[in-house]
Amino acid sequence: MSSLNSYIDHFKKIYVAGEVRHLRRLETALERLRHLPVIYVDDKGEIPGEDMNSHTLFISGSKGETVGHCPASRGHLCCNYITADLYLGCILNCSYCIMKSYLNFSPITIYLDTEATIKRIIEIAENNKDRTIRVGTGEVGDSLLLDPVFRLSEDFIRALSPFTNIFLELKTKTHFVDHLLGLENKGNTVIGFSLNPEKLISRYEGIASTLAERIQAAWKIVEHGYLVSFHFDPLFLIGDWQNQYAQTISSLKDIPQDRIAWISLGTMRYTKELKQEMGNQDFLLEEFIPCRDGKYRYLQKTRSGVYRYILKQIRKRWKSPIPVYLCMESQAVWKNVFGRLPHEITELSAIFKEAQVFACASDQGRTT
Amino acid sequence: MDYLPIDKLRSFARSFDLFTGSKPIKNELLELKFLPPLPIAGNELVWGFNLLCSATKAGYGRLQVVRISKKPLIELLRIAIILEDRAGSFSWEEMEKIYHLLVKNGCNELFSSLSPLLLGHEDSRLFARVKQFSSLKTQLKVLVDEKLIDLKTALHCNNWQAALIEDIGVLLRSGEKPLSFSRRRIILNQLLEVSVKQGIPEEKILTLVRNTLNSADPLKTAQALRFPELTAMEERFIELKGKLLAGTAIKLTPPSFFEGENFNISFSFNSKKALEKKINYLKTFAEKTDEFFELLY
Repeated sequence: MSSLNSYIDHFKKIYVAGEVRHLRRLETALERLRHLPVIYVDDKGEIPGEDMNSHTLFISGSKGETVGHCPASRGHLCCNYITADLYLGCILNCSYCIMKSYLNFSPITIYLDTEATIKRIIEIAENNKDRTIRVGTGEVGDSLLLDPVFRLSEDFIRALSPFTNIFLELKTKTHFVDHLLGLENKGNTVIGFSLNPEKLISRYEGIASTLAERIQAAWKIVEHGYLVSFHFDPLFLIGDWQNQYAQTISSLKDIPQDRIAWISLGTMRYTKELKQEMGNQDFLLEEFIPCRDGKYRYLQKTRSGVYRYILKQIRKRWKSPIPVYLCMESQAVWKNVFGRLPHEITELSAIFKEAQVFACASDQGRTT
Repeated sequence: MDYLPIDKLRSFARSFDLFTGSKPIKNELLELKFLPPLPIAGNELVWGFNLLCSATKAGYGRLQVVRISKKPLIELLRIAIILEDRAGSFSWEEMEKIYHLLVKNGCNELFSSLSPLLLGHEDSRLFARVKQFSSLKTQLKVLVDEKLIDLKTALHCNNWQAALIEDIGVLLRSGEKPLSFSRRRIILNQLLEVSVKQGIPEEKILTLVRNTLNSADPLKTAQALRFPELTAMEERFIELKGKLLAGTAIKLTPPSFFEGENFNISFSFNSKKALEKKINYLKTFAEKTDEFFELLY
């Protein structure tokens, strides 16, 4: 069983940037991490080379733009997801994690001042009142892994809950939800659980929580009035994958469909750089081919078959249509799986309607 | 500068005797006695072991030396490598010797700093790579140094029996069709992955490699083994195309790797009649396209 303490023990040192020294929540967080030495610096550049790794926590302010578009892939359909960076980097050590290819020499960074990020999301929501804004904090780190210590998600939930067009998604491979249960107003907050069969979790998902722990956490969350989402991503075609995934979906059986905000599917994919970092993983022995965005994926025919199979299992489990979408997939695959493109699918059209994110602000890109 | 008797120089410590690929000393220079002075640090010859050997054979009684005041090992090593003047052509074996010398003296972290002198460019991973080379079986080291196999592939083969590696070495050296280093690397990697995926026992790996290298197109053979589904799709496409479009001079191309939704058709014509003929072919073809689209579904 994975515990927060075992994750915290991973860290050896904390660096704190000057701009967040005055924040009250710093004191609280450091109290929870009191066994670790704390060094105050003016900026990240002062962290010595030997501490530029995932055993170091860097608590900082959010310099630059922390809100952006999910980096959609060329030639693949985008689901118009908006990302907000709170936690940068991860210690779960999943074999397939894309961050392996670009965050190897970085400390785990926490953007402790949430105000500007929240303000920016509200600004986007107000400028897109007729659209659903899906915003997630799990793009460059696990949303909940360190959240029981830093409690950043609470600020977002409280501030964004009054906005009916905002769906805030906190995506995780942990079961650390207890600190969120007591919050009064949840709005459209969605706690997203990345799922894989237990056999694959223990093989490829490092020190992440077990499937049972995640499902139990999903239950807790639902019972306390939150929405949940499930992400079968990456899907692996290994061994008796059909049975494995069917059982995993089956284990979610009693979660009421009206509490499931969406389910996403994505097959294993990787860049050349990531392949270098992944080493000799057995799943790499399958047939992967280069796609238009430079990423390697299973053959289109194979992927289409996998998605159709998983979709069938989902439809078997929950009768009414839960929004199910494909992550970073091509138009051809969408048509193969659904017979239609996302904007033509009733339950997905709201999700896939693009929000004007940058047109309403002076800054045109993200620098974080 | 000073002179020292050859015998004395030959008795000096040889911890810097690292280079097996040193440039030979030209006979003319030996005859003219135009030899560079040998750097010595205390009783240690820093560079010039092949020069010393050649001079001994040529009957020299003494050689000119230049004494270097006490310097750290890494500095002496730097001098030796500079004097070798072979950036980019040091063998793995030589780099391994340098690696061992540094490890023995507790300064291995400085190894990568030598990369510009050894390789001709910076390489922060040189230490790691030489360390990997050092972990290889002797038979694989030979293949890597001969550029018959790349380091990464060699690492994957390191659990193989020495006899199998030697047999594969023989096969690679005697290949009837010359293969470039990169083609050989791709082929071997693909075969290695096939053997791991299919759990092919070691005694059958040699046959797999032999059959592939002796096939008409080794790269294509290896790819077909590594990507059986893709190969089957390509073969199916060719079969269908042959059945429906043979003799029509209409070119049909599938999307690259069967990834996408569009097939491409092209043809040329030089008269209305020729165009009408093509259109008729296409009409017949259009009625039977389902099997093509199945390749993408």
